[in-house]
Amino acid sequence: MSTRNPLLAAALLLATAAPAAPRHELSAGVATLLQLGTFRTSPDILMVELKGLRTAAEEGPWSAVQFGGGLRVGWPAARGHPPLEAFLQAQLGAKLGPWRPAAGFELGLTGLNQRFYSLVYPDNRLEGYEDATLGPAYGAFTLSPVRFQLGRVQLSALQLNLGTGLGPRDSSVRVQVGVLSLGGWL
Amino acid sequence: MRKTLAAAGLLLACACAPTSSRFSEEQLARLSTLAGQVETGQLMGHVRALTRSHQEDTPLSCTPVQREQYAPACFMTRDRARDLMKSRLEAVGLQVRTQEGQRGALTFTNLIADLPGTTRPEEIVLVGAHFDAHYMGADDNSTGVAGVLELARVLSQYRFERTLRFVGFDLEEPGMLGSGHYVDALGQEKLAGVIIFDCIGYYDTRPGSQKSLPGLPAPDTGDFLAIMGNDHSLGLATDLHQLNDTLQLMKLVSIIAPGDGTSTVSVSESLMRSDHAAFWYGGHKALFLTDTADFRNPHYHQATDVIDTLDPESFRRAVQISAVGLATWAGGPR
Repeated sequence: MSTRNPLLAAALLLATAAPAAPRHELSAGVATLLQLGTFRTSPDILMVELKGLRTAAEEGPWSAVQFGGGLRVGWPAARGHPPLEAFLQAQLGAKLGPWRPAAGFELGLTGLNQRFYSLVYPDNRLEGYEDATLGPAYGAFTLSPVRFQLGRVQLSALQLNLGTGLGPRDSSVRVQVGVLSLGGWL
Repeated sequence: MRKTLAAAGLLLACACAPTSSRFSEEQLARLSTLAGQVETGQLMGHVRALTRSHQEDTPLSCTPVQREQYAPACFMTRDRARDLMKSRLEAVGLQVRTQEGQRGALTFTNLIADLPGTTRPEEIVLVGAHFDAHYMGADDNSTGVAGVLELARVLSQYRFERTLRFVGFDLEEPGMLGSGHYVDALGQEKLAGVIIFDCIGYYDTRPGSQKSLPGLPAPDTGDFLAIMGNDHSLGLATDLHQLNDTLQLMKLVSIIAPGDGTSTVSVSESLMRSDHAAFWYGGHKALFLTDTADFRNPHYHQATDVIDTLDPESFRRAVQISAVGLATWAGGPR
């Protein structure tokens, strides 16, 4: 480095000392889930979600990609299953000032499969047929249109996850709405 | 949302007219003769006797929840109708065996009568209907049972390569208990084709008389017989359309659900409201023939579901198209 150009040296020193752009996003949120099936729906399920995402690169095209995973716990619980979901997510985001809309997909395992049961004809066969098709694996498309980054704070609302069970005869459509999610960049 | 998903997930095959028939002139002539033996008087006589049997029977006991949430559940009968169906099957020379089962507090008894096949008796073509009913149950499902009885009378005059089986299912109304048990107990038996009747006697030629199934378009005039199938039974539905086009029997509208018909979309519920659902879940080729019940009939599960509301001519034609289909699949008539 030449000492004959003090301005350049100062600029380079500042650049080296500047903190790297944060790449890890941690968030917590509240969502509702409704499952639609052949004959019945689920009750409205309230879920609390913890999620971690990592940006694929600091800069360049891959900086728009995030991947990670998380856990959800839900109420009411399905009989005989832990009230948990574990999932992996990947999403592509845009940076338009503080607005950071994103879309992607999710693969997961859920213990929240459940349906209403008939009180009028509790011995019917159809509910059993449908229950037998439900499996834990699911896939979903995710859309986060109301997502903002303010400094190191991440705020998202009205996130939509639309998915389906992945078993060979699975009869479940998942409609999940993320009410509010609050997080930060590390 | 649900309707959008339903429409996206289903194929609607409406009056799928074939370009050429796979049936010979000779075969069609025999089938036409056979269809001509289906008699309106016989059918309506069965319905009259069946509705009377329901009227005179003692309803099954019902729970306070049923009384409060679904009153028709407290007007469900089946014992006398089963006895009547059994005696009329025996009257045409068929041996009837019973198949009993229990689920929860409910016991049930199916009726099974075979016309043995001549060369492939192990392969079975089945026609069935449930004999339990709410109130007098003229359309639902005395018409279906009457259809089975008339088919037993007509078809038992012939011989077929495959076995023709006539079945009365018990307790369809509380959720396909009889048919579910029947499919569970099938074992290695091979079903070549199945027709299920449920409500096949109510028709209305007035525009606006037909409601669409949720998520599915349908003609607005309730003058057709609906055929509900899935990918497995698409060939059977095509056969019925081809035979119907040739014999000019009645207006048919088919709805073919994708895959085995048990898909996610909520409209599947509308396509799986009878005993064929047990066969679909079992992976068997089954068609559901219906006048669409409460999507057309305002008397559905009402005390007003009485014989005077039926259309005998269209009812006969629905049984005729079934007769030629069953005879064809059974490898006959001989």
